[in-house]
Amino acid sequence: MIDKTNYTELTNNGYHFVGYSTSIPDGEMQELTVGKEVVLIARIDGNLYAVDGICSHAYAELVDGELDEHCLYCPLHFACFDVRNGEVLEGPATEPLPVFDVTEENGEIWVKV
Amino acid sequence: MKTIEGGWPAEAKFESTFPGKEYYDKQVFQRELEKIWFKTWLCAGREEEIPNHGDYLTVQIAHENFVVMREKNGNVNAFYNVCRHRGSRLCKSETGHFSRGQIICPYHSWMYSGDTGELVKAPNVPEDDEEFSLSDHPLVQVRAETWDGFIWINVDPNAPSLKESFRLPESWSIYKKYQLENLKIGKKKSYLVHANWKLIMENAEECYHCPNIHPELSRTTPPNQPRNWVSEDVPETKVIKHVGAMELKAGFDRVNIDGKAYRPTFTELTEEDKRKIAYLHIFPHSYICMASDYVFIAAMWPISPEKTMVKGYWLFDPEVLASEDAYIQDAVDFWDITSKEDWEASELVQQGNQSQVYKSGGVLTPLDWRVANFKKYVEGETKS
Repeated sequence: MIDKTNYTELTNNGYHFVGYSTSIPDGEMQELTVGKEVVLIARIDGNLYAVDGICSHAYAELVDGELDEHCLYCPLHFACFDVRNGEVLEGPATEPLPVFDVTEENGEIWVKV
Repeated sequence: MKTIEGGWPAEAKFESTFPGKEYYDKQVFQRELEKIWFKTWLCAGREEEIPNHGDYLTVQIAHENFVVMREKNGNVNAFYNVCRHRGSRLCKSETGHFSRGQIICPYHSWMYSGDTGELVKAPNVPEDDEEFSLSDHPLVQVRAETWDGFIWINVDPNAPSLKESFRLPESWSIYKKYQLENLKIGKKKSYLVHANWKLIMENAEECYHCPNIHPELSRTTPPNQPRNWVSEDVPETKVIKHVGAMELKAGFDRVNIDGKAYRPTFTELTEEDKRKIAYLHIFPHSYICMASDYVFIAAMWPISPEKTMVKGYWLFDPEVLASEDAYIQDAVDFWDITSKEDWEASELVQQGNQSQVYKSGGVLTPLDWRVANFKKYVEGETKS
């Protein structure tokens, strides 16, 4: 049974419902728009991570790139980010990706933007 | 596959660029001056820059300089900025005011009427000398017309009128809702770009480069969204090109640096218009970018084959500018940053185009189809 109280708490804390847990299998990623933010959500070893969906270097949608374990490669210049914390692992990007809090409740994915 | 601007027309194809020489050769540049720059209507500025009788601004095209001034009856006049006596430059400043509308040469004080161009006084030259008549030495006039708050000049005395050349007002009808005539300058900036003028205009003719060099512009109006093209019923001419509109990304309210709304939108825009920025290009040298709450204009002026001065104007609703808490930096930063990214790219292309390996040029892809159209225009004007 769904705990309505918890949903209210999530909403009050700035979380947005973005989709169902089943839509992101392990090792895969998805892009979605929350307000004006493009967010990329990836699942690694069962855990969900959410980062800015646009490369911090030029303009590229990272979902068009490649995810190799925790390494997220940009499709345009192959900058590499750690999808778990947004850190730059390889240039040309120099700025880390903003990271968003993400949580799963009763098979639903919620992101704080 | 996601495509820039949603794709290209069926006729777009792979073809050569201009050979590298076209971007640095002095003879090519001289020919372009004669065949293009001194034959077409050019955007010299905004009427509000010279509101009163005697106010002037000057325009430099390569070695030529023109003075554009407001005459007594409210019309705008333009003259070569050259004294008829020994050829001195008459006005040294970019803008200024002639007392009583009289243009006085700094060298020997020959005085001309800015209203008619007539020489009215040549100090110390005997007035009764049979060999000299003031009426034989007027300033050489250049044509000037106004439209929608803009001042246009044309060096060619035989050129078609502005209306005919631009097919006014039909070609401009879709932009009427921006009420360009009423808008006022909130910011003006000049940029010296170390690149041939064609490279700067060619850069504006494609958005292939947008994801690569314009992260700010691309986040606001993603270049891989289909562009909203203008109906073919709206006339174009050899120089007037409707370049459609880019759409705002969801969540963004304005085409600016952070997507936030700092000013009301123009009153005549529909809800659909408010989520777009419309582009109008005027060959050979300017583009007008119409957002929902401001307008940005860039006009480029060739200085030499390898140098171009670009003038940028940011226009706003005068009521917005007059208000105490007027804020325009979001729009200024957006186009200042984006323009500087364009200038840097054009300067890199200038450097590469001067290489011996670029002697026969490079390749235009179907994505560059509007660059190909611009190339065709330049070729058409300069071949005869």
